[in-house]
Amino acid sequence: MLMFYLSLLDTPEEKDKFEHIYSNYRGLMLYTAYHKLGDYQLAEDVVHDVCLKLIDHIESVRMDSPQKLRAFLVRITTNQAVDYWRVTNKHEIPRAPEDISSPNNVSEMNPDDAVIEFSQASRMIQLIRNLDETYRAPLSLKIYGYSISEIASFLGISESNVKVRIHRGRQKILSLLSNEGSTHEHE
Amino acid sequence: MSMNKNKVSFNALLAFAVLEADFQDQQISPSLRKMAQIPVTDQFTAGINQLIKKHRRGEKLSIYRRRCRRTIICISLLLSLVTCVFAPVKAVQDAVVSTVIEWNEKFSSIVFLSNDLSFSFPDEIKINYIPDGFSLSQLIDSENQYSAVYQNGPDRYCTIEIVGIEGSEITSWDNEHSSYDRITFDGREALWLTHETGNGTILLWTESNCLFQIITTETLDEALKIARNISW
Repeated sequence: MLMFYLSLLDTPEEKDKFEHIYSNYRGLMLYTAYHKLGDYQLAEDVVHDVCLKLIDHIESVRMDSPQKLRAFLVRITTNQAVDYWRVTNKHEIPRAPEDISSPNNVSEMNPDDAVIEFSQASRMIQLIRNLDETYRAPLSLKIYGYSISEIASFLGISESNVKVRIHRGRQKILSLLSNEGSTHEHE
Repeated sequence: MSMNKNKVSFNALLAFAVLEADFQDQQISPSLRKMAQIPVTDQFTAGINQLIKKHRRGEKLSIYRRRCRRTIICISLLLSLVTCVFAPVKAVQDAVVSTVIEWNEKFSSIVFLSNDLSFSFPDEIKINYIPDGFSLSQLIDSENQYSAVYQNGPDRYCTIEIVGIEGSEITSWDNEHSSYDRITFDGREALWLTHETGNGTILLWTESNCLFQIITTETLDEALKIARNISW
């Protein structure tokens, strides 16, 4: 019994995840922030804030796949950069011409019931790459397996806001695809 | 192409597309090695070093907390092991007697429960105090029961009953005209029953796995004095 309790307590020490992330991905985070803001000073501020968030929630960061970790860091850095931009410029970042964040583009179909032709995959990838960061970050993190509360912590928004953004992001993608006539409700 | 005609759920394709979109983004961005060469200001490096130091302090603190927790659990486990296995079990068993009062329409059943089936009833019981003027009129002293009745004239009496609790012992008393109070004397928890007329006192308590009952026409003070002077 004693050994059982000890085995529970003797979890391996947390490897220094943060230092690993910082030394390997500092450049990526700076590049991402600079790419969005076009200002080195601001980019450094963004990365500093991202590092603070990472330290606060380091136990939630998934290290299982370098590719996913890299995508995760890009998403939270971009999200932080967008927040900086909004605070400093008091307006939205200019959107891509094919921006699907317009309130008019809301599908009445339920994404859970929808089926779609596989040939639409490349179109969907393109839509996601053009998706507003407001929706793309929570959607991506959800697909990478992060829980709603973890996403809320990393993005600095409420859990209900995370749910709303994921739902709206999915509906907007579906809406645009269904307008192109390739989507159907499940029978 | 037949593949293009295949239909998949929206959610499945979305998961694939999100991963693929991120992968394509990674493909067009410079390599990690190249990005690592982006120069940073001293101020930024100092800020990050500060963060790392703070983080290391936090890590050390959490390791220290983990070690403390481990030590406390080990000590608790050892203590509970000693208490349960090596300490005399009698003290534990004494505390096992529990009392349940079942309220019925006109009477209450007081149920005394004990898990200790290995106890032995006292060989010799002595009543060292009886109020003046009372004399022994009846005595039963068997293997598991002791009952002594003292009388002072036709109306005044004092009965002392001691019964070993083997599993459970039930005693029933009127609840229509009596009141029940919990009292403590000499560290013992007892039930004190009084009749609404004020005449009559019943005192019940358990000790050493035995149920003690004093039923008397005398006051509570007298009943307590008798109780304190029972020895075995």
